[in-house]
Amino acid sequence: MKKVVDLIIIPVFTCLCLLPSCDYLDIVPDNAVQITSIYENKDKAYGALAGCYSFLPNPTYDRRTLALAGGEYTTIYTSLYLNNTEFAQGEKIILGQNSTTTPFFDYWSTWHTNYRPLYQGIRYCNIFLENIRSVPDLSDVDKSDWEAQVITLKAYYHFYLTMLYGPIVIADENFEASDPPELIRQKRQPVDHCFEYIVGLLDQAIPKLPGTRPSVFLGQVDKTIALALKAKVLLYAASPLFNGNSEYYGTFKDDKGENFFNTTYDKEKWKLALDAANEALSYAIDEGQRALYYYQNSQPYSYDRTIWNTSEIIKPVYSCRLSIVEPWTSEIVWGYSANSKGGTLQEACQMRDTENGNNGDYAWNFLGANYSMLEFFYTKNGVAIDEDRNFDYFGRSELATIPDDYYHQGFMQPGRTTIKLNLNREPRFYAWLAFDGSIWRDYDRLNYMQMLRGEQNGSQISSVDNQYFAGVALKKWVHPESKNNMLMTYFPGPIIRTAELYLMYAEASNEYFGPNNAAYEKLNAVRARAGLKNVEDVYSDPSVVIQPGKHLTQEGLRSIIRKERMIELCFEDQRYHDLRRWKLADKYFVGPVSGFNIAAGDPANYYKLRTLATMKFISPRDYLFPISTGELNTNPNLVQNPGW
Amino acid sequence: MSQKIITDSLISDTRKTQGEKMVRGDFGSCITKFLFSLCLVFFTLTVATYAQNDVKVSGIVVDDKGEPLIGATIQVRNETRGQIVGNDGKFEITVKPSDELIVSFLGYENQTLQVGDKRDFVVVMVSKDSELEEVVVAAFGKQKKSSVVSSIETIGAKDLRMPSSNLTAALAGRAAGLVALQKSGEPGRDNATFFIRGVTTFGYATSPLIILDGFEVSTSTLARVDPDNIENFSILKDATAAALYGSKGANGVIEVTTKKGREGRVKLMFRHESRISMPTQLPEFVDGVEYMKLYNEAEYTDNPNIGASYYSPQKIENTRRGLNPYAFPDIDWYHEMFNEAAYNQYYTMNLSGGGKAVNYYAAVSYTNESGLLKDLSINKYKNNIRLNRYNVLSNIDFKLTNTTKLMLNMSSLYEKTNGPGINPITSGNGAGFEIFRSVVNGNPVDFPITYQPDEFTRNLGHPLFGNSDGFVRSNPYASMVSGYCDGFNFNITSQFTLEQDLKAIMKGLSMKTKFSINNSGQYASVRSITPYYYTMKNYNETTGTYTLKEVQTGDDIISEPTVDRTANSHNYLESGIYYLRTFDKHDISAVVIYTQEEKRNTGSVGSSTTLETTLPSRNQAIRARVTYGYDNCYLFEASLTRQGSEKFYGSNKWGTFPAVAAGYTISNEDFWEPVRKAFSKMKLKASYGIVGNDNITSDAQRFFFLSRIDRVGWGYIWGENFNNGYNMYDITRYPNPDITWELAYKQNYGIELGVFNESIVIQLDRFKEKRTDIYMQREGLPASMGLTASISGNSGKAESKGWDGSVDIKHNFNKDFWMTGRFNFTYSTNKILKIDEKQYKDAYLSRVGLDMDQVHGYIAERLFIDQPDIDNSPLQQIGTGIIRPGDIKYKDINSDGVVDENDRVPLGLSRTPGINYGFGISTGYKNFDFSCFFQGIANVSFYMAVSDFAPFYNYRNALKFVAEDHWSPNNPVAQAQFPRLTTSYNNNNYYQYSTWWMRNGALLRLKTLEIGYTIPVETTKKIKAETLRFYLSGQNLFCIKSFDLWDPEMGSSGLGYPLQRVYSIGLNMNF
Repeated sequence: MKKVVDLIIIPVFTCLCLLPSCDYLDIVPDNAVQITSIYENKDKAYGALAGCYSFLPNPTYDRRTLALAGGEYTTIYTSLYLNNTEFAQGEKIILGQNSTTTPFFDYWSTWHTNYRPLYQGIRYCNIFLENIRSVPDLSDVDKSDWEAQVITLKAYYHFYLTMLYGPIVIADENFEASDPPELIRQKRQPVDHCFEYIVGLLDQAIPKLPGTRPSVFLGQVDKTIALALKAKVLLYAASPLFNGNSEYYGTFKDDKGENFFNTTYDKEKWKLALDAANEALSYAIDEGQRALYYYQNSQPYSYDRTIWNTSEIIKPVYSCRLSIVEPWTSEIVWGYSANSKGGTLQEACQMRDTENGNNGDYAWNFLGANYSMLEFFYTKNGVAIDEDRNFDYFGRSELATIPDDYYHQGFMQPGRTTIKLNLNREPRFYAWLAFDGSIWRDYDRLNYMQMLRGEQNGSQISSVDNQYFAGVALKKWVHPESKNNMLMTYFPGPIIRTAELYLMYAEASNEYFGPNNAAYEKLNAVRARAGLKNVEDVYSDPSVVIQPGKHLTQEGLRSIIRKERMIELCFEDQRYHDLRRWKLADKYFVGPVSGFNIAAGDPANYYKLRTLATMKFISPRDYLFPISTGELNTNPNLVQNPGW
Repeated sequence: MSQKIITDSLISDTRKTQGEKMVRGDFGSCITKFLFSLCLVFFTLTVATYAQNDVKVSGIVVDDKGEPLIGATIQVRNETRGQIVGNDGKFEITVKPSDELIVSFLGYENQTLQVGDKRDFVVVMVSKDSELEEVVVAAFGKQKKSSVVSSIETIGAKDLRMPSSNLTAALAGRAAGLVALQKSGEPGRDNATFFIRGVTTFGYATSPLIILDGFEVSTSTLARVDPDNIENFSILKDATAAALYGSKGANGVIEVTTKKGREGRVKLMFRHESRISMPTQLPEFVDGVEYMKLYNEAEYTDNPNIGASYYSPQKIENTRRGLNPYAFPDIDWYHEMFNEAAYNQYYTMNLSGGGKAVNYYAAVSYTNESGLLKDLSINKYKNNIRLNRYNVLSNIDFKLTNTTKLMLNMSSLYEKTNGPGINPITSGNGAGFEIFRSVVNGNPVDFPITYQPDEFTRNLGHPLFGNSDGFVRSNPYASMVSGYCDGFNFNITSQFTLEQDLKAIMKGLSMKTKFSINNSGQYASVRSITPYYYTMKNYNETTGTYTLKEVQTGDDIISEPTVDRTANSHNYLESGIYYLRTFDKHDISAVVIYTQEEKRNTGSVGSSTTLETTLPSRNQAIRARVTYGYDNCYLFEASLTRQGSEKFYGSNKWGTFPAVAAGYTISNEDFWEPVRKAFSKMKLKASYGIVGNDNITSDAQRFFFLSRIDRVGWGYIWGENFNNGYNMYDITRYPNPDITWELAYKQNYGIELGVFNESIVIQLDRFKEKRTDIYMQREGLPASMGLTASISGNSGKAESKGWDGSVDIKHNFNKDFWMTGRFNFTYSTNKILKIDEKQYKDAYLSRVGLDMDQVHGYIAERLFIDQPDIDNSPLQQIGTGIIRPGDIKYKDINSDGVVDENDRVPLGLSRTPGINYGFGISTGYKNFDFSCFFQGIANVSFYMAVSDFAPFYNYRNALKFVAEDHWSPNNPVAQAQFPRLTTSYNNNNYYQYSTWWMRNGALLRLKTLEIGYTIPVETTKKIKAETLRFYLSGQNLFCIKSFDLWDPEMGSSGLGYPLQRVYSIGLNMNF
C-alpha cells in the first residue's frame, strides 16, 4: 500500500514541477504604440500636425491669459483670487509678484493648466519634421506644406520664448536622455543669434506655403501668416530692448564673457523690419485676402436701424467691434482656431443676463477693464485727452448729464448722470468699453448699463467675486450676437491681425526714415477705420491740438504711433510686450490700479476713484521673465536674467 | 493538596517558553523531591512491616499544563499487567522494585519509569508534536533555534493580543528590528505602517514582505488575523533569512504561521472581550465669540483698510449673551457629532485535537467595532462607522500513509462595513477622517445645525440645515447625515500541501508541494440625499422671529446607490525537494524549491483600464539552500535564488541572489567549561547576501521597456466653423529596457548570550545594508529638452546601518511568584549615497549624505514685526503673494538677498523614528497576573501640516493654541507661536517645511496594561473547564511626549481620526 501511494505521489510532484512553461513571464502583448506608427498614414499624421499646433499660447483664455499683464484688465480683487496661483497670473506680474521659485507663465519649463511649456512644443515639432517624410499616402505637396507649417510653428515658439526671456536655448534638434550632459545642458544664445535663427526658419518655410487656406483649414499657417510673423520678429529685433541695449544689459554676459544682448544700436535693423512689414502687408492685401475690415452690410442689427443713418459714429463702431469677434473677418491674419465659443475670454467678459435673473451661464461677469483705459482712448478728434483743446481734461471727473445728441445716440443713455470723461470720445471707446450710462448690444436688444450699487449691472452682495471690480466692462471680446446661457458666436483669437501690419510698417518706417508720408498713410488707414481724421490734419490743426506739429518730429510721430498701437491692439496681449520692447514698461507699470467705487449707490460717490492695487515694476529686472530656480538648478549652464 | 501545588506551578509554566521549562522542571522536581521525602517518611513508617518483594506505587499522570490525563495507560514492561488512569489522573499499582513502568497516551511520547526506591510518581507527559527544542520559522521551513545563523526575531503570540481588532497595531515596540507607526484610529483604517530595521530604500516599496502560512499576504490581511490563532510570528531581518524570498525579501520578511492541531484530546478555547474606546487626545477649538473676534482680526491683518468687520460687534455681543441660538449660533461641531466613546466586542473560539490519521485546528471569531460618530435620528439610516468581522480558520492535516501527509489550510474573512456616505474604496482617506476634517474645517458661528421652521417651512418634511447666503459651504453635520455607505469585504484563502517522505529512495529525503489560492474583494454602495440649506432673513430681535431663505434646493428622496467594487486574485505554486540528515556530529540539509506566483488586482470600477493595471503580475523562481553544522558548534549556510519578474526586459528579467552565513556556538566548546555556569550560552554569527526587489514602482508604471503613446483629446481645431479637429498623441512614457532589479547587500553580525542558565538572554545584532540600483526619476534633464514624460533609471544608492537587540529576563521568586521582563530596541540610521538630482551649486541642497526621510526646508528666524522690517530683510520669494508683517522671516542661506528654494537646508531628523524601543514586564502571584508594556520612539522629527488647520481660510475653525499665542497688529511679537492671522491661503509664506513647524516626535507610550485573575482549578473543574481567566486591559493609556496638540505618532496630519485609547474586560476559557 505504501509503495503504491509513493508511486502515485512522486509522478504528481514531478508533473507539478514541470508545469511552468518558459513564457510564464512574457505577458505583455507586443502591440505597443511606436512613434513611427503615428506617421503610418495621412489621417494619423493629421493628429501629429494638430499636436504641433496644440502648444500655441491661447490669446483668449479668460483670466488666465498673459494679456492681463498689459495693465489694461481688471480681474477679481478679493483675497480668495489674488492668492490663487491659477488665476490672474498676468495681473500679478505687474503687481510685482513674480518670482523665480514659481514663475508665472513659465513657458520655459512648467506644465500648467494655463499654459504649456514651449520646449515641449518644439520637441513635438522636431519629431514631426523627422518623420513626416515617411507618411506613405501624403502627397509631396502636402509634405512640403505641412513641413513649412511646422517650421513656422517652431519659429513662433522660439520667438515667443525670446520675446519673454530674451536669450534662449535654441532647440533645433532633439536630444535624448542618454546623450552626454554637455549636449543636454544647452546654453542660452545671444538674442541676435536667436532672432537670426527664427528668421532663418521662416525664410525656409515661406516659399513652401500657400497664400491662403480653404475654409476647412482656416487657422493653419499660410504664407501671409509666415510673412507677418517674420515682420513681427524683425520689428522686435530692431526694438530698443533688443537693439543696442547697453543700458540694461551691458554686463549681462555668458560664462565666456560674451554679451547676450548687442550693446550698439543698429539702425539697419529697422530697415529689415520695414522691408519685412512692407512685404507682409502688400502680400496680405494682394494675395492673402487680409484687408482691413470694414462693416459691409447695409443693414445693422434690428435695434440699430433707426439710428443707422443718424448716428455719427455707428459705422466705425460696427467696424471696430466686429473686426475681431465676427468669425474670420479679413482682419484676422492669424487666428487661434482651437477655441470653442471664441475663447473663454468672451465668457469672462460677458455681462450677466439681467433679464433672466442674473443668469451667469457663459457670462461670468468678472473680467473688465480698469479706469486707466477709460482715459487712454482718444477724444472724438483722434488725439489724447490731455492734448485736445476742446476736451476738459482737468474737469474730466466732474459729473455731467448725457446729452441727447447724434454723437452719443445709441451709445450713451441721454439724461443719465455720468462724468465728463465718458463723453465726446472716439468710436473705439464706445465700441469696446462699457460703463455706467453706456449701452451694451446684447443679442437682440440694447442693454442700458446701470452699474451703481444695487442696480441691475451693479455689484451684488451675493456673488462678491463676480463683478466688474473697476466699474468698467469690456465688450471687445463679446460678439453682439452672443447671448449668455444660449447662443455664443464663435470667433478665432487674434494672434496677428491686419491693423498690426499697418502699425508695424508705420513704426519701422518712422524709426528708419523719420516722419514720412508712407508712415502717415499706414497710420491713417487704421485711424480711418476707427472713424478718425488723418494724423497730419489733426496734429497740424491748432483748433484741435494744444501744441500743433507733433507729427513732424520723429520722436513726436513715434509717440503717436505707439499710442495708436496701444489703443488699436488693446486687450490683445500686445501691450505688455510692446511696452517692454520700447523700454517703457517701467514708466507705465507703476502707480495705482484704479476703479470706480462700485460699492456706492449714488453717482457722486460712485465716480470717486479708489485704488484697487498698486503696480510695481522693477527695472531692468522685470523686462525679462525669470528662468525658474528649478530649471537653473537642473541646467548649470544657464545664466539667470539680470535682477532675478 | 500536593496535586494542587503541582498544577499551579505548571499552569504558570505555560506562559513561558520551552527553554524556561527546564528551569521550571528543576523547580518542579524540588517540589517532587520534597513530596517524595514526605512520602518516604510515610512509607518507612508503613512499609517497614511488609516483606520485600512486591511494592505498591502510586502516582499521577498529567500533561504539560498539569492537567490529569484521564485514560493514560500504565503498563509493566514485558508484562501484560497494567491499568488505565482514572478520573483524577491517579494510579496505584503493585510492582517489584526492579520493574519498569511504561506510561503511554495517544498523542504523547511514551515515558518509562524506573520503580527502584520510588513509590510515588508525578508523570508529566510531553505531547508528541511539541518540539523538545525551540524552533524558529525560517524561509520555506523551520529550523532548530540552536542552528540558526541568520537574524530572526520571534514575537510571542500572547504579546500580539491587544484590545484592538487590528493586529498591526500591536506590533510597535514588540521586537528588535521592527518599526511600526499607527497614524489613524479609525476602525478599518487603523493599520500601522511598518518597516524592518527602518527604511532602507528611497525607492517605491519600503514595507516588508508578509508571509502567512507560506503565502504572501497584504498588510490589511495581516491586520485582520486573529491573534489567538497565531502559533508563531517571526521577523526575518538579514540576507540569509530573506534571500530565499529573492525578489521580495529586500525589505525584510514577516512570517506568520497559524496553529495546527495536535494528536490528543479535543481542546476548546473561548475568549470574549468587551472594549470601550475613546480618542487618546482631541484638539481644542475656540468658542464662537473668540472665533469671531479673531476672524475680524485676521481680516484687519490682511487689509487694514477693510472698514466694517465681517462679524459685527452686535453679533459678537449677542452670541456672548447667548441670545437666540438660531440667529446667534455657537456650535461645538465635535460634540454635536461625536460620541465620547465607542463600545466594541470580540468573541473567538477555537477547537483543536487529533488522532492517528487526522489533526485539526478550527477557529471562528467575531469582532464588532464601531466608530465615534453619533447615529442621529434626523435621517432614517445609520451612518456611524461599523465593522462586523467574521474570521473562520481551519487547519487540517491528514496522514495518508506513514510517509505521506496532506495539509489543508482554509481561512475566510468576511467583513461587513457601514459608514457615512463616503465611498471607502475610492476615497483616499476614511469616511471617519473626512467627517473629522469637516469638523476641523467647520465654522462655529455662521449658521446653526438646523433651523426651527418659520411659518412658511412649517410643513416641510426635511430638516432645515443651516448654511450661509451666497456660496454654499460645508455644514459638517449635514454632510455626515446626508448619506450612508454599506458594503463588505471578503478574503478567502485555500491552501493544499502534500508532503512525501522519500526515505524509500534515500534516507532524509522528502518532497513537498504546495498550492495556494486567494480571492478577495470589496464592495461598497453609497446612498445619499442632498441636504436642503437655509439661511436666516429678517431676524426680529425683539420678537425673536425670522424667515428662512432656501440657499440650496436639496432632494430628500434617497438616491439610487453608486456602487464600487474591486476583485483580486492570487495564486501560488511551490514544489521542493528537501534533504535533512545527521551523521554523527554532522548535520546536513539541502533544499531546492521551485515557485511560481500570479497576482491580479483590479482597482475600483473604472480605474483600471490600462494595459499595465489589467495584466497580472507574475514571478517565477528556483531557490536552493544548503546548511552544514558540526557538533552544533560550527554552522554554515548558503543559499541561492534565481528569480524572474514580468516587469523587466530581456536578460534583466532574471536576477540571481546569493547569501552565505556562518555561526559559531562558542559555549559548546570544551574550553568554555569554566564559565559555563555564568554564561550558559554564547553564539556568534555573521551573514552576508544580496536580495533583490522588483517592486520598484506601481503596477501602472511597470513594463519599463514599453513606450506609451496616448491619443488624447483635441490637439487642435481648424476650420471656418471650428469643427475640423484632430486628436493628438502624447508620449507619456519613454521606453527603457535597461531597468532592472533594485539590490540590497545585507550584512549582519550577531551575538547571542545566555546568562545564569539562560535566565537572562541577550541578543545583539549589528546590521549594515547597501541598496543599489534604486529606481528613481532622473532630475537632471533640463526642460529645454522638451521631454513630455519623466525618465527614470536605476540610479539611486543608499546605505543603512544600526543595531538591534533584546534582553529577556525570567525569574521565579518562589512557587507563587514569577516574573519575566523584556526590553528590545532598534537603532538605525541611513544615508543616501547617490541620487539623481539637480546640479545644485550649493552643496547643502543636495540630498546625498542625508537620511532618506529627512526633508529640506527653510530656517525660520522669526516673524516680521513691521513693514520696514520686511523692507530691510532679504526678499522672501518662496512663491507668489505679498509678504506682510507677522509672516515668517526665513533665512537667506546663500546670502544672495533672496529667499527662494535654493535656501532650503536639511532640517531636523528623519521623519521615520531612528530609535524604536519597547519594554515590559509580566508577573504573576498565585492566581493573579499582571503585565504592562511600554513602547517608545525617538530620533524623529515631524512638521505640523499647518495647511490642515490654519484658521479662517474658507471660514475654518480655529484651534485654541492659535488664539492664545499669535502675532497680531496690537501685539507684534517676533516669536509668537503662530504667525499673523489671515483669511486667505497663505501657502507661500507659512505652508512650507520649515523649522517653524518642525517638532520633536519622540514619545513613550504605555501601550498595554493587563491585570488577570485565574479562577482556582477547584472551582473551574466544576464547570469542566481547564482554566478560566478574567482580565482587564488597557491600550494607549498614557503617553509622555513633548508635543501636546495631538498624538505625535500621527505625524504631521494630526487632525485626522484620532488614535484610540481602549479599555477592555475579557474572559478566557480553556476546556
